[in-house]
Amino acid sequence: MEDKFFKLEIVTPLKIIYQDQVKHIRLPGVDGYFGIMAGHAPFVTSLAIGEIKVDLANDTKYFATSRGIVEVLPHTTTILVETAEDASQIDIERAIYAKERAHRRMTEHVPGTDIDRAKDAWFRAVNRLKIARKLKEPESK
Amino acid sequence: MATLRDIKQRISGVQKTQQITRALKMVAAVKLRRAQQSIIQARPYAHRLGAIMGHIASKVEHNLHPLLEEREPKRVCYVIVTADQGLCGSFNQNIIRKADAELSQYQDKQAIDLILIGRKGRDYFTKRNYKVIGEYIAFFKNLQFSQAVDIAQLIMDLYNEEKLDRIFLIYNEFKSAAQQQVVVEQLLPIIPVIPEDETFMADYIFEPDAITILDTLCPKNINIQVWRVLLESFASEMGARMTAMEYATENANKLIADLQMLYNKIRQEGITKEILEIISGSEALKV
Repeated sequence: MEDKFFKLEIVTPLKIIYQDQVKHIRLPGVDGYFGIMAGHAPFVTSLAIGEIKVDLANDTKYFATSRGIVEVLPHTTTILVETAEDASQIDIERAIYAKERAHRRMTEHVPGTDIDRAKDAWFRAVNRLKIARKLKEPESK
Repeated sequence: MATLRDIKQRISGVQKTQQITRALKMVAAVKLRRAQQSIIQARPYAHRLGAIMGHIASKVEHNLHPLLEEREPKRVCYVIVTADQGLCGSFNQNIIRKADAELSQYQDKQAIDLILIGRKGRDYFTKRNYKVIGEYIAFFKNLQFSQAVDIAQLIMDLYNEEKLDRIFLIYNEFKSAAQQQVVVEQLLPIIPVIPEDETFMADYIFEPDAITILDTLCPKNINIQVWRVLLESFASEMGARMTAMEYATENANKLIADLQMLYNKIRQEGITKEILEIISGSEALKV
């Protein structure tokens, strides 16, 4: 069967991160990962912190993302997220630093610290690290 | 008849004004570049989020969420965005004229609430017996997202408490450095938009469910839309100021050239007169 493509847009408040014709995407839904191909029924759902996997004709791209929403329409899928980083461009050192800082915030119990925000930051940092490292050491199959 | 010294003084006066307009133009140009970049980057997200909200609004019952609910518009609110400063051509006048036209539709001035952003609009409308529920001045100097959130929060609270039934935005949309367009836009309730290929829309699915999604999306959408409007207006203001000051500088150039010409003419006349006097004097001696 011939591959069908659909238009994907990943947009953050700062800029359009990615825009292309793609074959298949896998998204971090609130209740777990799910996939979308061309011709999917129209729907809207929230996204959690996680990884966006984009399958092109003969390439695969990964993005680290945090919370947002996706709208699937017959020919276009629009992903609106707070942040999305191309896995190949993640700064590992910065991610490690962010993770440690978030960890300190969570454990030190300084009055006035927003624990939920610290937790969120920690999850985002861990997510970025996981995705960046996966790309550096390709999965052995 | 103007003396040479008068004209000299006027020339130097115009030159000083020109220095100021030129400096203002340069400052506006630098700020414009930054403002233009921010609005162009902010637009895609805001437009797409707005579109998704419109799609959702066209698919769900409107009483499902307060921010979608169409109530009888007893109390209408206008958010009017102007600049803090003048010297930007017809930027402020255009907004105020449009707002005046909009507001004159209503019989009862007291049924309208105004939120005024920018000193120029505040000064104009507070004098005209409207009910002002929010004013924000000296606002654009250091524009922050949190400022947009403050305004959005005020709007949503009043809307949820049913103190406002319909909210409009009036602002300048940024087209290019030399062009702005005054836009009147309904912010709340959200206007339903049916997507282009609506045949597929019969079973638009929400996960987990429409209310959860609307709860997170509605406030975010209002925040983002207010933010976008502030950025649009700021970029427009800088564009308008740059163009206006450019014209002013050119105008000063023309004025200086004209004055210089006049100066030269009068000087020439003076010299001619003196020569004539000397010649006629020496002629008289010859006899």
